[in-house]
Amino acid sequence: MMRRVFILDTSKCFGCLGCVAACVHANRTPSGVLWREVLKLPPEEGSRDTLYLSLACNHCENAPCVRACPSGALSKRSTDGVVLHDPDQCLGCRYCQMACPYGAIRYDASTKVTSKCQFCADRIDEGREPACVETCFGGALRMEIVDSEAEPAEYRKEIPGFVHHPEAGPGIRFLRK
Amino acid sequence: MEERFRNLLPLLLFTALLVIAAGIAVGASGCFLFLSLIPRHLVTLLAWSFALSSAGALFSFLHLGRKGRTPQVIRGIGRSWLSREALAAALFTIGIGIAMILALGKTRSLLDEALAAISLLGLATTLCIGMLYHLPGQLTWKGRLPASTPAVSSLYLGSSFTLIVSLQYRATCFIHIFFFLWASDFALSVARRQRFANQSRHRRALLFPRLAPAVSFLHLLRLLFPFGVAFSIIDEAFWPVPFVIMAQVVMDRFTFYAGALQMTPRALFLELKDERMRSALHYQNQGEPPA
Repeated sequence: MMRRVFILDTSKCFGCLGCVAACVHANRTPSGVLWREVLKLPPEEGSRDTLYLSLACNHCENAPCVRACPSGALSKRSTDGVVLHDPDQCLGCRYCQMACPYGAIRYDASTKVTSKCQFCADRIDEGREPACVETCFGGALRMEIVDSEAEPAEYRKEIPGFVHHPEAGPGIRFLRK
Repeated sequence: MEERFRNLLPLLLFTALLVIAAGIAVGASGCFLFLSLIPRHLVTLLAWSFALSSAGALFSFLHLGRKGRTPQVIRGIGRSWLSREALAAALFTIGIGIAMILALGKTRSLLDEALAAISLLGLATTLCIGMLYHLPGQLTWKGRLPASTPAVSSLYLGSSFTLIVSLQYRATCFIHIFFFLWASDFALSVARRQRFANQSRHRRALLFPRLAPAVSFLHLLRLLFPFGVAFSIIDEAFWPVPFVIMAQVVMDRFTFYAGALQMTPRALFLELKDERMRSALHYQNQGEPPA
């Protein structure tokens, strides 16, 4: 099955937070609600490499949030596997937050519903890239359409610091030199 | 109390009250169907069950961000355990109301069928509550153990009523069922405590780290409750038994929610960061990396 995934080259990410700012700007997320975050891990003893992980919703293959949502506010697009959230259908029960193993779903206290990264679905439908990818001037974050049956060998599903849940099938791959 | 935990309180009350209501309904039905419980007592027990499940439904409704969209909760019936739980709880509450009306009637036709149906619906609701929290990302919640706890608690509570009534009728056969459930409940509480003790070393992954000491204490306290129940029965002081079991249910729900542990990338990063900082400090002080 073809699906969209984020590709993160951890050797190129230097934690500028440009992707976070671009996401806030493009999606007009309310104050305190960040769909994307950059996690920083100091280097190990004897190493100089600080690890930065830019993470948002992973648009999982078997998304636990979609299975959990009682109202159908969360759905998976069959064409490219993007997990969409419709705030007009959301009950604000926050069960999706409990179900998401990546802590990627946010609750907005002002609207009393949850929200999450939509992979900039409107932008990708216009043939553009998601705001975070477009902004990443270090070239660390990319979006690709991959065949889950035949993925390039250099794409890693797991790296130290990332919790891989194979039953969910997160749509993020890592490149690391 | 942590603000995020306060948000979970309606769910805690909802699930605890539903488990207790289901237990009372199962017990009342069992006593009426197998031990000829007098209808007046049946109606009293059903009224308690109805009141508790209705209060639970109210708490559940209050925790929703958008209360006006409540009817949409059953749209996910095909895939979401939350939808199934909501539907089962609603049918259970309506069923108890109908059973009460039938029990108050003179002919009491269809009452046996209604009681059997509400017992099954009550147990189905508790099973849905268990399955609801069987989530891959929540380390202390996933698995068959936490999923089966609400249903076992309901059956245990129900069997306590049956036991009390059966001993009044000098029918001792129900004592075996009761002690089987007593043992199951005890084994589950030991296993839950063990799991929490094993997992809570990931302090960064605990959703409510400040409540962790309270959870550990309540887990230990909870292990004493079954002995209290056993002593009460040996002492022939039966009436406190259902109340002790109800207190157990509330404690179980508290330790369940307060002991939530989610290993998100953020939690793992914080853990690794702590580890590396400790290692660096050790290296700085001792001049060699820790073993």
